[in-house]
Amino acid sequence: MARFRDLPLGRKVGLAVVAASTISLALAVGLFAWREVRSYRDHASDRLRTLAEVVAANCAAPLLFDDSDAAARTLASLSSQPQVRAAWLLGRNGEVFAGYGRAGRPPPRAAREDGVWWAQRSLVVGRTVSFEGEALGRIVIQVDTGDLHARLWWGLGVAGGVMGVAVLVAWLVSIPLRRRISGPIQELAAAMARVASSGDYSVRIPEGGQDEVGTLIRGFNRMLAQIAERDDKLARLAAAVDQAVEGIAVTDPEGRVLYGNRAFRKMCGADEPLEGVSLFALYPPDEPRVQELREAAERGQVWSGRIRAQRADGATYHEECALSPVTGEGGEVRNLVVVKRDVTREVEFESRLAQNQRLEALGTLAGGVAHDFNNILTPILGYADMALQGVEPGSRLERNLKRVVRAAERARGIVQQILAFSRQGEEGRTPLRLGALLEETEALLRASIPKHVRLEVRSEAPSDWVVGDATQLQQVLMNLATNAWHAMEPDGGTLEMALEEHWVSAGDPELPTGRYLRIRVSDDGCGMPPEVRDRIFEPFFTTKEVGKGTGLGLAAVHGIVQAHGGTVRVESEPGKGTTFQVYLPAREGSESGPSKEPRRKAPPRGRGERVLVVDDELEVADFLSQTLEALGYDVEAVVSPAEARTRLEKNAGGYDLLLTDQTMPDCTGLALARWAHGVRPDLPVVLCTGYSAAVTPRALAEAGVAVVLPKPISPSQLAVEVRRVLGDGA
Amino acid sequence: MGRRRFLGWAVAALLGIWSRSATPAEGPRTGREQEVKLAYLYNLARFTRWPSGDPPEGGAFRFGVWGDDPFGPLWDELIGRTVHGRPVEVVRVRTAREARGCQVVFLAGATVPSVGRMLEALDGWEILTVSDQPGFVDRGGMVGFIRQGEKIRFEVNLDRALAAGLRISAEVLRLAVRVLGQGGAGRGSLP
Repeated sequence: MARFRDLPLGRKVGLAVVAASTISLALAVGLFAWREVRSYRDHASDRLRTLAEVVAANCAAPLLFDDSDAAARTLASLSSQPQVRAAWLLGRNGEVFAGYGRAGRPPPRAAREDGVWWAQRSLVVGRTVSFEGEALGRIVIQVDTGDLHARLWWGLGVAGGVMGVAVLVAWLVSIPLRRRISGPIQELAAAMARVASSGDYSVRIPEGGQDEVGTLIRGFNRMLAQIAERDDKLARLAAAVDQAVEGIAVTDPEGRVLYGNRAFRKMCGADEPLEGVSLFALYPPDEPRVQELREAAERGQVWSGRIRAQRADGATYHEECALSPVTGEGGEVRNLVVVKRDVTREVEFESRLAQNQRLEALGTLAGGVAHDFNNILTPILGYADMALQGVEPGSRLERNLKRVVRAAERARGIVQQILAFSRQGEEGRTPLRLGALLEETEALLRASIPKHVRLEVRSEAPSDWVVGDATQLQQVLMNLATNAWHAMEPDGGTLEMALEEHWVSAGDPELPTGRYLRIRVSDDGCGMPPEVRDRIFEPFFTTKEVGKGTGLGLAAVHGIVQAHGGTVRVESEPGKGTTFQVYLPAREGSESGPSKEPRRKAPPRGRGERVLVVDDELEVADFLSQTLEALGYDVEAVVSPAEARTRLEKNAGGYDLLLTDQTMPDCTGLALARWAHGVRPDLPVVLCTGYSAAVTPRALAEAGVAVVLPKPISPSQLAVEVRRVLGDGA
Repeated sequence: MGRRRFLGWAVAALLGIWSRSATPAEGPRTGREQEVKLAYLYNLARFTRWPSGDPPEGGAFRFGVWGDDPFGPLWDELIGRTVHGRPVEVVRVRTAREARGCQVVFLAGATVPSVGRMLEALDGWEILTVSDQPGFVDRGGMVGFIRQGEKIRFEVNLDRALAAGLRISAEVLRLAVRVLGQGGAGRGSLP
């Protein structure tokens, strides 16, 4: 049988009702029976005492006069009381003096004292018989209580019957009661089970009355609403934390991750759950600040700062990390909360910004120096040139003066490159098509780069207009390409130049938002280590052998691009090649708008015209002849004016153009031109000079010089001027 | 010697007689019989009321014995006792005049004519007259002891007692073998 506490509530109520009615009825019956017995006894006792008293009074004399017959007669008068079972008159010593009824038996022992007692379904009264205060003996009378028992049994029977009916009625009455009480509670229990299994807190129980069950149901409904609200709040909070941009993690006091949000997992690059992973295992072992982090965690202190972290795949990144303890009421550290943000880009941009600022400072300094230096070079060259006019040709003094001029010209070339690096001005800027410029550059490059370097040029920008200085921008492209193929020496490789459109979105620390044109120049050459990469744009920084490079090429690239509102980025790793990316702001709407500037097109090409190139510097001679050959000219290059004279004497009509440097050791270019004019007056002459102060228009006209090209000579300018001198020929 | 002790003695004496009665025995039983008679005498005094509660002689309740005293030293048992709250005195009387100072007079061992004279002399006086002479009550005595089997019983002449102003308790009358007068009330009236 089930224990009471496990019974259904309805059954309990029923049992309680039945038990209560049974107990109360039993109590009532018991009380009734007890009262009955009491009153009977009181009544009977009184009667018995009286009887005994009467009998005793009548027995004194028989005792005193030893008359047992008389005593017996006295006792016999008890026959008028039918319930008297027996009576004894006892003598002084307790012996039976006379008897009545069933007095054959000895009298009950209880009757040795005066009073009334129960004995064997009877009442017994004992009384002293005395005369004038002197005890003579005892009278003992026993009466049957059968009538009492009969009455009791009858009463009990009736009470039992009433009780049975009452219990039945109580049970019947308890049925609707049970339904009223346990019904709502059962409903409540069912609703609770539903909520527990489904987690649906929208369940509501119809409210009952104003009793305790009703209160319980209302309380339950209210609790559900509160739980639902709190659930919502928690879910919102959890979603907010989980979807926060910052990586957020909660760890135990030892730093083991208990929870990591989405951003945190993403930052760690972990596919598997991070729970249980130590926070400190998420950093590269050589990162010195991990120790700081660990100590802060152990002391329960707040720590924040930038730190280099490691992803699951081993890649490192920079993060802004804040660690703070969560303390309990007693001040003990319960959890650690870590909030981190990937700041790799910021770190990169900051370092680039710092570099740009450094380069700008250098540019300003170098520019100032270059300007002053240029001013100093002007009188040096001028006076040296003037001195040359007055010296005897072929003398030692003339030779020395020419060396002065050459050195000064070289110095001026360097100064001009420095000026290019630090250039700030916007003169000479026009709208131009970067694609066309790239094509021109490609043509020039094909003439100059070795055969084992493969050149690939792509243009993928639908609109390629920028505002800029064509000469400067061509210098940028040439410098980058030249560097690239130098990096691939001696094994060769692929030099790739690509023009693309690029959209710079908000957040770029260097460039304002907008459309840009990007020229990528990449090689698969030797690459650079980071320490070199970080310094390549500094002026006079070079990795080339002394004398082979000025260290100004990339500085000039940087200066020019910055001056155009763009930027240069470089990616390189040793052994994996280098990629330069030049960003220039695209000019909006130039395609439809009118442009006075003729569209730049591919450089005009030669048609096999023979050109004699004279330059005492082999590199320059090479550069000029290669450029012209690439353009389709038949070129002969010599490194001394004497050789040139010899060639012209031999075959004056065999050349269509003379291209000569002005400053050479034995003879100036102008002198050579004059001489050539004498030999063949219709031969056009192009004079290249770094400093033209001494060259007067008259002298030029006398020497038959068609055009003067200021050094340094850009390939496109060369192509255009040569073509113009020879006649467009179209 | 306390009252209780005497009663114990008296009852024991009575019971002794009763128990002996169960066994038929011969011979004189003077000592025992006198004891019972003395106890009856004493009890009769207690069950009897005198019209003048306070006797003129003072506080004592006098038992008188006339004639040949059958009790002798047994009287001592009554010394120190009271009847109706008055101390008991025992006196031997020779004349009616002496007897008139008593409340109870036992007339013993005398001849019938002398007893008759004595009764005449005491007639009208508030004196309970008791004797064991046969036919005592018929001759004008008030209470007469008689032998009935093993037991001592008594007869009562109620008329004489009433005439003397004495009221003998109905309980005692109920025990009497014969009651003379008053229509023969009591057992004594039965044939």
